[in-house]
Amino acid sequence: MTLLEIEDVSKTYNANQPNSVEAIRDISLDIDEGEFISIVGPTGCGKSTLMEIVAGLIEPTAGEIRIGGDLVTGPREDIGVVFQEDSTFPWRTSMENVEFGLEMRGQDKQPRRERCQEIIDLVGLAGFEDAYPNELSGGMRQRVAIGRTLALNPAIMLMDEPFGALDEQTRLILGEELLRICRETNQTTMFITHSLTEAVHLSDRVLVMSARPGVIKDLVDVDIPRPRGADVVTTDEFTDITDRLWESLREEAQRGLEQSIPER
Amino acid sequence: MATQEQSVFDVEWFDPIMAGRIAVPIGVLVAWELLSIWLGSALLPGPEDTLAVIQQGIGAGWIVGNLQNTMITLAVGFLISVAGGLALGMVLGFVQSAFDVFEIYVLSTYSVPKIVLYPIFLFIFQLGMDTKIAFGAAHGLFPMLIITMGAIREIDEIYKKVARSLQMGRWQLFRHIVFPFILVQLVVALRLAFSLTFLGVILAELFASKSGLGLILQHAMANFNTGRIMAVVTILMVIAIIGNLFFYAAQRVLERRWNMTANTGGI
Repeated sequence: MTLLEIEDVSKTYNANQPNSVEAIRDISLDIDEGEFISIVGPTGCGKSTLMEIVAGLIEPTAGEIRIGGDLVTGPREDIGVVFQEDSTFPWRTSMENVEFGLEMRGQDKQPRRERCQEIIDLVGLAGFEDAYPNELSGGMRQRVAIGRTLALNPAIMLMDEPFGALDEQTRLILGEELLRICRETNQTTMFITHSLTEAVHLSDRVLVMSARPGVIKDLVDVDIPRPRGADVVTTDEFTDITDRLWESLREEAQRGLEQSIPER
Repeated sequence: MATQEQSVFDVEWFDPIMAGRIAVPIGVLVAWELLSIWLGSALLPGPEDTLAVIQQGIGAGWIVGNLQNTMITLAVGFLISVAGGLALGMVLGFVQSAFDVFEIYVLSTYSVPKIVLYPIFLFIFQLGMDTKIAFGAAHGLFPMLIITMGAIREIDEIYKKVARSLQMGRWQLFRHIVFPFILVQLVVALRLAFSLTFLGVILAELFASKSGLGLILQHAMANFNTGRIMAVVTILMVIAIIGNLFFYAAQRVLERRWNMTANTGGI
């Protein structure tokens, strides 16, 4: 069943001004409930713009976003966002960080604690409930940020390169765990990444975006059976799909590099 | 017996940093004593002479009343500087246009030696407690204002995005993100505001006032009463050190717990 509809969405920053920048153009995409979809594309292709539009954080210049048929007009309770940067609060313990969203929504302490303990266990932070972020590694802090979003039980989780700042090994491990979590909770997820391997490993479908203005260049189904362990990356199917993605992406990456304007 | 050679300092209960911290004031006292012996206690009374003058002063009554007066002035001036600095700092921190217009004037005024403005304070508030309070508060206001303003402007964009995606209201944003974020720096601001308010109060008392330890100090200096000079100086130093230690300890507790470093915004 379609959960998220992205219909002809375009975004131009500073429209009708000399310094206007067309970030994305005519993006249309339907995402099913429980689906894990990745978006890859060259630097500056408007991936983050698309995500922020879906999150209701910025308004599209044209087009619309619907969730369960409902028009998105701003941030909503059923959309959760995980950012690339460390967004944990240093003055709160892991548990208090995970509780943050529910606390802001006014949920009572008792049910909130119980719910968040489940989330803490789910994201692998058991035993670190009382640790402050400065006592945790970057990977653990990102688990906290993911937990904070999952605790809200969002219909859709948007992740903007959540593992971008982490080393390769940590990325792999967290990717596998994310896969498990999304399966266990049937979490619909839109995942932005630079890594083709990561995209293929995690996703049901991978969307390739072109260099600016970002349009849909390719949409690839990943029919590799689940569960997918880390060893799946060595199989032929896996290599075939990453090869195809790289074919679509290579030329765009080159163009993106030439534009060489930092991604907003 | 132990085959390994052991330094006498290499034992568990010995903390070299703590020992060093204790050694410094002891060293200062010793240096004071030696200097007093060298110059003669008539010119520079030593620690025990000073203590005797303080005891005598408490008995004779010139310390307690003036100390009380100075402390009340300091307390009221400090509260005003904190409240005013916080309020103005928040306005300048949150409102970009206010920041754009006033930042340069705030920083310039901060750098003016405020003692040159003291006559104006006297015209407005007359000779008495009010002038001292106002003058002290005018000193303490600036670090509070500048640090509050800077801390608010430093709040990471990412936290604002989190707040927006969670649809947090203004008050929630302030209570749960802005306030904890700026807290460590506010404690630094409190410490500096305390020190500078104290400076302002004592300057006012030295310059022109009707009461307070600064006035006693000024009289003692005029009469070359070295015993009283050292007594008042000692009392003022103790107040300053205790106040500073209190806020410094609070700052360290917060910094350690959250691993957030206080940035004093250019002060």
